[in-house]
Parts: sequence; C-alpha cells; structure tokens
Amino acid sequence: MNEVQRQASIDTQPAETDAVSRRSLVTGGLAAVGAVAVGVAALGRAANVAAAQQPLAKQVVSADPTLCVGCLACEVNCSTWHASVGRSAEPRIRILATPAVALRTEVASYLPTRAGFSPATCKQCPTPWCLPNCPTDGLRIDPATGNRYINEAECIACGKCEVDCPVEWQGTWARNGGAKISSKRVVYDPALNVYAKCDLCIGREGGPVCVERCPVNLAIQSGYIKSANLCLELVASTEEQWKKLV
Amino acid sequence: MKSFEHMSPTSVQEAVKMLSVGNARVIAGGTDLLGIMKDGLLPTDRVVDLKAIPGLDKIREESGELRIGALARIGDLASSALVQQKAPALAAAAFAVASPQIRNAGTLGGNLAQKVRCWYYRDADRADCYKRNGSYCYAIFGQSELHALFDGAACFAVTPSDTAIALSALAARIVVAGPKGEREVGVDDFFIGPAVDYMREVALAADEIIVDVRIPSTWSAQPSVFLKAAPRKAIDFARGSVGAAVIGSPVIQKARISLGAVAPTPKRATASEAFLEGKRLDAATIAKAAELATEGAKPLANNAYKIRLTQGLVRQALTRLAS
Amino acid sequence: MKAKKITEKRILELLDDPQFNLIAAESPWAFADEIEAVNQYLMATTPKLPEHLRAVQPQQTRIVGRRVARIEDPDRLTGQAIFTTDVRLPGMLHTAILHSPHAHALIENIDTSAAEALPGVRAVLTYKNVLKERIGGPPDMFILNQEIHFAGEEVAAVAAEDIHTAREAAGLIRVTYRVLPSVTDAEAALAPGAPDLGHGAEGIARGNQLAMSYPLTKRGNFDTAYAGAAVKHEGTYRTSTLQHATLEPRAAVALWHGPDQLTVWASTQYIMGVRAELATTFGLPRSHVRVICQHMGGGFGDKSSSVRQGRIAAILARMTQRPVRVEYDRQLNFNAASHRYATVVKLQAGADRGGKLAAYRADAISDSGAYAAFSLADVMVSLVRTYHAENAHFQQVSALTNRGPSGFQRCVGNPQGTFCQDIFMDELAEKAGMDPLDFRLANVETKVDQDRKLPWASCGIVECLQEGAKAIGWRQKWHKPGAAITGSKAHGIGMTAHACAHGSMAFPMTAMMKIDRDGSLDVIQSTTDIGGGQSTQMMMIGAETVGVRLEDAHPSYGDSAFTADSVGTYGSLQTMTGGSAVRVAGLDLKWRILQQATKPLPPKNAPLLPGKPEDLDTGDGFVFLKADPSKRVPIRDVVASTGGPMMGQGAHTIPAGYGMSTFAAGFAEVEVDLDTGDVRLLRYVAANDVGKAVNRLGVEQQIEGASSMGIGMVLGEEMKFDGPGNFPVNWNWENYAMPTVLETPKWADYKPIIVEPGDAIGPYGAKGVGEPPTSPPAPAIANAIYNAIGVRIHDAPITRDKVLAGLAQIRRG
Repeated sequence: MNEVQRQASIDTQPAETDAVSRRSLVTGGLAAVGAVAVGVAALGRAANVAAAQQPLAKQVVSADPTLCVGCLACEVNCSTWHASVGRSAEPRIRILATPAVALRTEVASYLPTRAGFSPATCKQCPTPWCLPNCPTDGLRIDPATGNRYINEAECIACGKCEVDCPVEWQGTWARNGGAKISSKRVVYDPALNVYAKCDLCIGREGGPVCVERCPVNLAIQSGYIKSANLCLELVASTEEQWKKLV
Repeated sequence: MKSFEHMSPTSVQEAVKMLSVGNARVIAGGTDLLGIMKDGLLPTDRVVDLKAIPGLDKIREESGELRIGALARIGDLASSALVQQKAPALAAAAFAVASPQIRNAGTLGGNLAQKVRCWYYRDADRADCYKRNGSYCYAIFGQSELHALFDGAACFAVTPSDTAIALSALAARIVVAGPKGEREVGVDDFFIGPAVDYMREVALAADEIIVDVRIPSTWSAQPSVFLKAAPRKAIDFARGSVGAAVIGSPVIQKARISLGAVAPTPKRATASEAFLEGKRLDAATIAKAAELATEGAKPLANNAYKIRLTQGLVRQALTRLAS
Repeated sequence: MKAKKITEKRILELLDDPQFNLIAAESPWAFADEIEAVNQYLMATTPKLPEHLRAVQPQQTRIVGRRVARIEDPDRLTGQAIFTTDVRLPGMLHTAILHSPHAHALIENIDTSAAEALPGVRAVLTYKNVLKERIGGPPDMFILNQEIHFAGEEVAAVAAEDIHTAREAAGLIRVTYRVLPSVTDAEAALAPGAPDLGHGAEGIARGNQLAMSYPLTKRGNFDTAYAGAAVKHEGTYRTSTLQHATLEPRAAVALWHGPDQLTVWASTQYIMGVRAELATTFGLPRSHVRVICQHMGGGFGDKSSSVRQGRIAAILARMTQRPVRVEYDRQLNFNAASHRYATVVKLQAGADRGGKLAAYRADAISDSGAYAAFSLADVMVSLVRTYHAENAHFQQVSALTNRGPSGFQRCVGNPQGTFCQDIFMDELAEKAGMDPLDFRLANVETKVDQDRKLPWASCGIVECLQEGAKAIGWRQKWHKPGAAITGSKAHGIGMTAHACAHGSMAFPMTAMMKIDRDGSLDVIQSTTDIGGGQSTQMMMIGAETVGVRLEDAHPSYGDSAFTADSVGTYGSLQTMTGGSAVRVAGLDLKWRILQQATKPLPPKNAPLLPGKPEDLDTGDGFVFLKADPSKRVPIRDVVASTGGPMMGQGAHTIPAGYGMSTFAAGFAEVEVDLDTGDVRLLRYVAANDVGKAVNRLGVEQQIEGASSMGIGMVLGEEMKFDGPGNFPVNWNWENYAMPTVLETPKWADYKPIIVEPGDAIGPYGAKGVGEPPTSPPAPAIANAIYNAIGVRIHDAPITRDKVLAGLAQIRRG
C-alpha cells in the first residue's frame, strides 16, 4: 500500500490512545494487580488475565446458512472496500462449502440448487485470544464498541494471532472450487505482508459492508422474500452467541 | 451523447499516452463501444481510435506460431486460409460472431476486450449494477438465463467473446502494450473474474491495449473445434459454447477444453482434460468427459439448462475431434 | 344471447366514433348487436344500384387473381420512400421521452426546471401541464399519467432543437416516485391478496379483474356429455407477452398552419381515426386536420390510432409554434407500444371411441397489461369456431397487471387460442388412437357459426387440410413420437387447423372512382396502406370492376385530404371492407359509363354503341356488346364524350344472414438436436382459405410474413420481466429473439397454398389474409417437436431450456 493509503487507513481507525492493545492491557493490568517484577512470562500471564476482563463486542457478524445462496457478494465487497481504504484485500468473511446445509423454502423457491453455503468470519471472541501475544499495537480493541480489530499499519505479520486464534474455517471455501489457504479466521495476506480479519469495517459509515450489501438481505428487506431474520446480521457478542456462530 | 474528444494516434506509444487521462476509451471497430456510449453506461470523455496505427492487423506465421494483430477484423480471421488451417477452432469462432456487418467492422482485440452482455448491466436504469460501480446484482434473484454456472462472485455476468473460448482451447498468449512497454499474458490469466475486479473483464489497465495474439506451435498444429449454441443462427451471443483441442491420436496425450457462457471468464474443463489424458475418444470416454465438464456447476433460477447444453456441446465437439 | 336494443341516436354516435370502429373490428362478438344495428341502418339509407349490377360476380376475372408488384415497391426498394421517420421540415424540433423505471408508481413530484433551462430546449410536457385527455378505450390512460402502470411508461416529453439536447434534457428531469406494489403475472394478479393496481375507481375492474369479458357461452350440456365420454382429456397451456417489434417505431410529425389547421405525418394504420381523434382533441372540424401516411414501416396492429405520440407531437407543436417530431426510441417502443397478450388456457374435452368430439370446455385468462385492453376476449374466437362441439362451455376473464399495455398484434388472440387448442387436440387425437390429420378432418366445423347459428359465407378448411397435407407429404412422413431418431437428431412432423374472424370482418366503408379523359382511373380509396399491398389490391379491384387495364389505374392512398373515409387497416378487413367499397364505387362508375355509351350524342344524335346499358360490358379498357364483343369502343372515348372526367362513388355494407370466417392449416417439419435442445424448422407449409386471391403475389407475401411471426411466437419471442422489480429486461433486438431469415423456411421451396372457395360476401369472393396465417405455425411446430422427442411442452415460446428439461424427464423416466 502507498503512503496515502496507509495514512487513510490510519485515519479511519480510532486514535491510538483510546484503543486497547496488548501494551495497554499490560500497563493497565499491572497497575491493577500492583505487581513489581516484570518478566516476559509474567507479562503474558498478566495480559491474559487482563484480556479476560475486556468488554464484549457490541456487534459481531452472524450468518444464517439456510438463507445463504453463495453469491460471494460479501467476500467481494469486503475485499473491495478494505482495499479502497488501504487495508488488505483478503476477504475477511468467507463462504464455506457445506453441502449438508439445506436452503430455507422461501429462498429455495427461487434458487433451488444453491443450497450448501455457510458464511463465516471472525467471531469477535468474548475472550480475545488473538490479542495478548501480539508483539506490536496491531491487534486492538475499540473500548467504545468492543470491536476486536487489527491495525494493519502496525502489523509485522509474526503470525502469533493465527496460532492463538481458536476458530478454524470448518471445511473448504466455496470460491474457486474449494481451495483453502488459511485454516484460521485470521488470514495472512502475502501481497501486503500483514494479517487480516474481520474488523466490522471499522471507520466505514454504514458499518459492515457485507451486511449492507448481501442480496438476500436486500430481498428480505424489500419484502420480496419473507423472513423474520436476515442472512447476515449484526448481533451482540456473548458466550452463548459465540457457540451459535458459524 | 455528450461531447467527447476523438484522437487518432499513429503509434502504439502515442495511443498508450492518450489513454492515460480519465475516461479515455479505445475504439477500433466500435461495435461495442458505440452502444456503451449511446446507452450512457460508462462515462467517456475521450475516444482513442487505433485504426490509424499501421501494422497491427497482420495474420501471419512467425517463429512457428500463428500470430494475429489485435486490429485484424473478425471477418478476415474467419476467411483466412492460414487461420482455418492452423487454428480451425479460431476460424470457426470468428465465423460464429454476430453477423457479417459486425464481423466486417469488429476486430480481434475488441472482441476479446468487450464488455459483458448481461441485460441488467446494459440497462441504464439499473444504475446499481456492480459493473457500473454500483452495489447490487439483479441477476441473482432476477432473470438469470444468460448468467454464470461457475465462479459468480457478486456479479454473475458471463464472458461474451467467442474468440476467447477458441483461444483458450489453443493456449494462446495475449500481448499487451502499456507505458512500460510490452508484456505477454496467457489467455486464461488475461480474463479475470469479478472476485478479482468486478469492474473489469480483462487484465488491461486503463492505459494498456492489446496488440497481438499468439498461438503456440504445440497447439496450432493440432485439430481443434469450436461449437456455439445460441437462440438464433446469427447475431446472438452464446448460451453455451465449447472450444476443444487435442494432442495425440488415437491416444490423447493432452486435451484443452474451454467452456463459454457458463462463467465470467472462459472456463477450462480441467476435470475432463485430466480424465481424457491417456485415453482414446470413444462414446464412453466422450460421455464421461462431457459429464465431468459441468461438475460443480451451481445454477441460478433460469440457467440450469446450460448444464445439459454444455454437456451436449462437449459431446459434439469431442465426437468431431474423434472423426 | 339476447339482442340489445340500439337507438338511432346511438347508431349515429357509433358511426362517428373512431374508437368504436377499432374496438368493434377486433372484438365483433362483443358488439354484434351494435354492428348489426349500424348495418341495418346503412342498408336502409344507402341508395341502391341496379340489381343486375349488384348481383354481378364475374366468373373469369382479368386482373383480380394476377401476381402484381406493389406500386410502392420502387420507392421502398430504392430508399426513396418517405416514412414518417424520414420527414424533415424546416425548423423542426426533436422530442425525447422520459420513461418510468418503476412498474407501478405515483409521481409525487416532477421538477423540469433544469431541463427547461438547458439551451436548445423549447418545451417540456408532463402530466401536470399536458391536456388531461383520455387515450382511446381505457378510462384511466391519459396522454401522460400521474399514476404509472408499467415500467417503461411515458412520463415526460421534451422538445428541443436537436435530439441530443432533448435526450440530455430528459435526463435532467427530477421525478420523485412513490413506488407501489406491482405484479406481472395474470394469475397472481387475480389471486386473493394480490396488490391493488389502482384501476377500480373507474368501474372498469373489480380488483384487478376487468369487468369486460367474452360472454359466457354454453351449448347443450357440457358436464353430462363430458362425464359420459369414452375418451377424456384436459390440460393447461400458456403463451407469453410478445411485441410487434415494427422496424419503424411509433412516430409522428406535427405541423400547425395558423391556429386551426393541422397536418400530422403519422406512422399509423388508421389515417381517418387519427384525424378524428386529433380534431376532437383540439376542437377542430375534421376537414381542418390532415393526416399523412404513405409508407409505414410495420404496424401489425400496434399503430391503430394516434395514442400518445400523435397527441404529444401536436401539443408540443402548438406550444412551440414549430413543427415537432416524435419518434419512440427502441426501448420505449418495446415497452410502451402495445403487446400481444399472454394467456393461460385450460381445456377439457370428451370424445367418443371413434374420436368424434362430443364435449368441449375452455377457460381462458388474458393478461390486459397496464391498462384495460379491448381485444382480450379474442383468444376465444378460434376456440369456439374451429371444431364442432354440440356440448360446450366457454369462459374467459382478463387480468390487469403491470406488464406493458396489451393491444392488437397480428391476429390478436387467435395465435394464442390456436396454440393452446391445437396442442390439446393433438393430445386428444393421440388418446383416441387417431392420426392427427384424420382427427382434424373428422372434427373441424365446416358449415356454421355454432353460436350465432349463421351459415359460413365460405369455408375452405377441409381443402386447406388436404392440400397442405399433400404438399408436406403427411401420410408418408408421419410417425409415432420419438420414432425417428438418428444419432443425436430427432425428426418430427406436426399440424394444425385454424379458424378465426380476421380477414372476414366487414365494415361500412366508402370509396370513389375518377376516370380521366385519357381513360386512366384514379381509385380514390380509403384504406391506409400499411405495407401489405392494400392500395395495390384496391387498384386491382377498381380496375377490374370498371373494366380498364391495370396499367391505366392508380390508387390514391395515404393522405386524408385526398382519400375517402374508412375504418383503419386492421383485422385483415380491408380486402372485404375497403375492397367491397371500391367494388361498389366501381360499379357505380361502370354503370355511368355504360349509360353514356348508349346515350345519343351530337352532332348525329347517335350513341357510341347500340342498345341498352344492360346489353354492354367492359374489359381491357373497352366497352363492348355482350352479344358481339367485337363491337366495342375504348372507355376513354366514352369518358371524353362527356366533356370531362367521370366519377363514381359507393358505400359498402354487409348483407345480413351470414357468419364470416377465414380458415387455415399449417404443417411443420422439425429436427431437434437431443444434445443441445436446438429446434430447427426444416419445412413449413401454410394453406390459407382466402376466398379468392386478389393479388396473388400479395397473398403469398402476407402468408409468408404472417407465418414468420407465428414461427417467432413458438421459437423464441417473449417479453421477460424481472421478478423483484417487474420491469422488462429484453427490450431490444438483441434479447428479444425474433426469427431471422435463417430461422424461417425457404419459401421458394414450399410456396404457400392458396385455397379459393369463393365467398358470398367478399368482393369477387375475396377474404383477407394478412393475419390468419399467423396462428397455425406455433402449434404445428409444437406438435412437430412432440412428434420428434415424445415430450409435450405446453408453454410458448418453446425455447431450448424447455426442450432440454423435457428431454431430461424422459431420460429419467
């Protein structure tokens, strides 16, 4: 990314001082605990303890696979928008090929052969496992919204977040016949040499682009398809919710 | 139509420079561009006419390859004895394009780089369409009989060019000229899908032009066929098409089978190609190859017929190659 | 059916109303009593010709029956013809029309200020400032509507110095729409819970169902006869919405001469109708309005009145004091011009073991589209008259939807009705174990209108079936379904029988003849020539009747200032109607010539020929003694002897006591590619009962052209609508699959068969033929496809996807 894009990227994210990162966790946590000795291991443990006390994400993208037709609009829009603000073009939401999933009648009546797709993305874990071992100010939490996101300008692509992320893509990606490059929900981008994950389109007016542009969502909102819920929705993160997310 | 500048460069470098301003578009035969301009689909402030550049229309043999300049007329490709002999699939595809009038005016470069025919994209009232920088695809829940079985991603429009399918079966390379000079790209990489960039169909920057198309000697010596199915015997774009070429007889060493009208780019039937390696073409292998060609297809509401159609065309193409 | 009482006041109103003529021509059963009353009135008031002349129907004709090149062809073939869209006047303004992207919407606000401010713009019309006048029949269709009823509907018109400025200005008009729910499927529109499309206020509809429909018609007792039938069958069949796709779109050029004289070039089938409408719109005497249409680039039923374009052109011309040109662009023409309506027809029939039809029931739904149309019950016509059924039940309803407006397209509802009926009859024949041809021969009605109980004035259906079958080689080629497959190609043969009213309707019409002193004849006739060779035909009838040589005759046409008055050229009725008027006028002139020939003349007080006028006849430019044809004088001498030109005139009316119908048969041979679902039409034989061919070449041309439209109906034509948005998606030649010359048969190989049983009413026994050939191809081809692959498809058009889906079914089962 060029300097302008990088700057734009930085500008769309909350000011550094507000965000919670590993460093601020450690500082805050130590102060709370009152410990004096500062060894690496102690740092990590303290950070872990502090991590468990972070606010829950107010929003996480939740999908209903029985409504998904695998059009990949979410992937494409995610990629395009992030690239337009200087971030990684790796889609952070992926459609998984899940043949066992049936399509709800309301949608199947239009597209009967397009069952078997499940949208999946970062689950905005209540305990942000990816965060404590980040050696830079890359992984952050927005204190106002609880959004767990990567400040890609700071990311050095060490890969620790990928190791620590507890959530895999269960299955193959639907795009391009099922190739899967990464196994975890945080993904390496070789083009920019950073890691990327769902950041709820932080800085975007209108919020997550995948939710805004999902064609099934639009068909439901216009009344063309009758459904009480959308295909892609924003829900508040809880332990219970986390278990239900794809 | 709003006013626009019309430029007539006399060299490739000049043309490339003229394309570096915003909303500049290339015109050769104009059979696609004029419709796009008149329907107001893409803003056009400058039209760069390539027809005054000499030497870009030659159909010739060079270094053992069949090479065709981007400004060669489609009609000339269809009637060229050299093309008919060295690349029969390409001659057949050229002959299948549109109508005699369009073939007289249209060029190979234009045929390859043309925009999609999706009726939502081509409707100025549907401004939301992804390909016009919008945020919606009407075909997903709309009238989708023209649209893709494979590789749709946000946009489901299919590749419209007949010559592209033939060239994909012939492993052609496309020579592109830009500000930094020339580069070559394989035809299957030249066509990009919406997942890469839904605003473009081909890997051309705004200030690049196609200058040459080259068919390697390995494939230009081999038998090849092109078949097209469309609502009428002329004028129409394909609802299904197949370009196929094989090396080796009676046992196939290598096969290339490319499918048209089923994906946003020419779609190689790689499973069929792999299956045919080392086999003879007979009724059973042909039937199996045809079946494999459409594996993984995910139709929309109105385009499931393309599955049977494509299988039928593959069967017919391979049957022709067998004889 | 009980006859209505029609008052004389009503009769005079009807005679004066151009809309009545049009609607009654296309839906005569709905206005049978009115037509009858009008006819009786005219018969009582028109002066009579001598009986012996009125009764003359020459056995041998000299001119009628020849193959004659059309008089307009030199202009058309050299590009010299001036169509409405060719008219260029000094100072002429060009018009662009803005259309609605929404299928159903209320215009809440329309801001034309930016458009008006664009340099070069001279006037902008919207529903707000245009005259609030109804267009023709539908009570809620105005020159411009505030409530929009279909996507593509006209919303505003901009007149500017050039077309590019006009288009740019149209794009600057800001419209705020309140989008309303819409529906484009007729059955869905009639179902409970369907959105209200807003037509109920004027009393024309109950919900979305039109109040007007084909009168419920019963014969005998269907239920009992059906229950007791040895062979029973039922099925549901569908046809889609089509477009005329005329090469020349709707167009008009208007020019005012001062405040109260108007000239309009209109691409129209009904010069006099446009004249009457515009005279009413502007409150002018009709003689002050001149309408010109000498060459029209296709009408096929879409251009039967001035509709919106003529009025818009005239209003803009009046506002700007400049000539104004309106031409619909191709998208507007596809969407806002009228359409062949979609239908759903449910059929049930019972036959005896020998295949004789005993009971027949039809329930039809027609799609009226955006506004109430008046041709919708026409789908019933071929259903009630083609086959003999003593126990029957016929019912029809129409639905308003948000498709474009339905109207009259070549043979109107008959191609739809016949498509459904003749696939059904093919299926019934199969159930009864009969060859399709034998079934038709056993069951077609050959004698009477079964509901009005009137004998047909002529009926050639049996000959059509037999001659057509012979020409295609039916007996040799017919085989069991799916039994003729070689490799991946399946051969099939199919056929159809058809009867309809088009070509056999007759209306009051007038004509005049003027013969000059050199013996040349002006046939001042009133049919609008719409490219079917109508004026050539009239010239031939006029020359034949008066007795001049064809090369001495010429028709006037295409200019209301110089023609007689008439109904429009639709319904294939000009042969019978205009032709009859010309014949009557010709007889009038002939009688005067015969009288003049026997009149004692100065200086010797001797007549040119001896005897009484009744002893003479005319032919080849001469008047001669019947008893001794060598005693003759040139007609020009007779004319010259009066000192000046001579005139004749006439008005035609219909003799009571006949039912009128045209008949046809179609035979198709196809090849279906089992791999790709391609349907190739190998051969098509058309056999048409035309009473008597006036211009043999013209008849062949009409049969070929109409057959091509029928072929298009089954092989690919269909307006498609987006599901969520209900807007049309294929409004251009690219995506609306009309057959090209590569899809239609080589007519030179299979010349149309012309059956000539004569007719009790038509001039020289002639009936019309412009439309009836449209109906047989679609079902004949559908039946041939079944014969090829053994799969029935009940849905027109029969496109590749349906063939492949059908093949998939039988492969599995």
